[in-house]
Amino acid sequence: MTAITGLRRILRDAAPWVAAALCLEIGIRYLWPLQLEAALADKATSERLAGVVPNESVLRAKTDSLAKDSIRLGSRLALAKSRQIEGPDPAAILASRVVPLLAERGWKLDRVKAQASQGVAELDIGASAPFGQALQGLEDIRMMPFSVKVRKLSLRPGPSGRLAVDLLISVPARGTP
Amino acid sequence: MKRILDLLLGRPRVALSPSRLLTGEVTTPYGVLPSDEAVANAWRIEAGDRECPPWLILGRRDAPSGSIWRLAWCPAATTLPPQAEIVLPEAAWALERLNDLSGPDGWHLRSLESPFGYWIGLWEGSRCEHLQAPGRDRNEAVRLERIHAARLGADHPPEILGEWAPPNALKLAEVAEDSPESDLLGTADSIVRHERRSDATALARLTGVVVLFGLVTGLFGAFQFFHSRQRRLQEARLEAVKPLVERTANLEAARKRQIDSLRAFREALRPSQAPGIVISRIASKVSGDARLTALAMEEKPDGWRMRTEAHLADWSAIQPFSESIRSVPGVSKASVSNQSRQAESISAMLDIEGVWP
Repeated sequence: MTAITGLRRILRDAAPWVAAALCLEIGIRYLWPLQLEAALADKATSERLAGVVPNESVLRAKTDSLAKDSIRLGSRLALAKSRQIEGPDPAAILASRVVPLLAERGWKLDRVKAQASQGVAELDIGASAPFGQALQGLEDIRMMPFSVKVRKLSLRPGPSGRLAVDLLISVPARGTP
Repeated sequence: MKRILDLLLGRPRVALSPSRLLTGEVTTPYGVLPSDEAVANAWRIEAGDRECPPWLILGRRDAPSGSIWRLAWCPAATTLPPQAEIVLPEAAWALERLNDLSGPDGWHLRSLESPFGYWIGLWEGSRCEHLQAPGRDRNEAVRLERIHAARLGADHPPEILGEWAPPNALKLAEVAEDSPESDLLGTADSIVRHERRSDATALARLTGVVVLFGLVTGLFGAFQFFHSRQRRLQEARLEAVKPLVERTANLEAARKRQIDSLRAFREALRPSQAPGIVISRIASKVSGDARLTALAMEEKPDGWRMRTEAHLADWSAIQPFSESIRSVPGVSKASVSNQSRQAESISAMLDIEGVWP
């Protein structure tokens, strides 16, 4: 009976220390390092993300600005496209638009030569017209919905009181397959 | 908190209990503390063949025969407090308080008013000679103590009043440790209570260990939870802005494409060149008898260049004519490169430069 009581006392007195040692062993060797490691990894990730992830309002403002820019650029691009000749044979299209226009203005066309190269359709015209109609024809060409560039123009006295007109114009072109 | 700490540290609880107070003395060889047996013998002489009650030492006086110890036997007067592992007689605390007083070298009385009665004792210097059981009547107690003093040859000893202080657990524990013989608990009770206290201490320590382990784990867990939550927040933020980031990237790519296209199409955005307007403006400067016979115009990177032949009436008309050409809007330069007489008129070759209107 005394031995049992003695053993019980020993167990009772030792139990807290054994439990403490066990807890320390589990805590220090396994549990706490795992917790600390996970926490530090999360901390590093959140800090990295905090530095990387942009502010939503700033980003939204930037997106809005870019969208507005895109719309503006799109309209400019549409305008630019509309001022180009588009088609499989831009030079022929240019000639088909200009020649009737000048003919209506009373230009007597002697020579029409159209060619396209390197994104540009060129039209070389040799004609005769009275001074006023020559100017009207030039104005009509300018009023066409294309970006017309006058490379060369010469006016000189021609037959029957008319002016001999040599005109070389070019318009940006986009070929389609 | 203090009780929990005492439990964890395994400190016994010390309580006070009323007791009777029977004084006596034991003589031992010089400087030797009285043994239990000697005290029990003294008790037997005083009280007969009864069990010796707990006792406490009041004071010591050295004499040629040895050390004479003044004792107080303290048989318990009431039921002892159940929640204590050590039960001291109230006299032990009262004696502690009275001993803390400083008095004269000679005979004097020390008195103390406590919640459980009026204590009075006879002291010679710092040595207690006699201590009365606590009484309700102060005057009677003083009178009895003066009689006792007179018996020892001290007439009208002065009285010193002490100040009561509630029992201090730490001090009580010290008193209990210094005089284990004054514990009112019997041996069997004492063992049972100590065992019970040890069980409670072991359980408290076990609980403490588990709580501490849980606390540390919980703290690490809270730290982990906090950073995990922060990470999830950042990830949620990332998820929230991901469509925006993709849209921004798409828009930027589209913008770049549009800018590249516009750069390629920039020629198309230029206004059409208007040679008709330039020629009209120049022609409007030609006055009555002058005329332009030919002109040749070509583009240059920043505008146009024209060469024209004008026929004027005389030499003096050349300069005003070129001046008037210079005044045409858009004309930046007008110079006469050649001039000659042809039949009735003067021919002037003009080089004109300008920008498109």
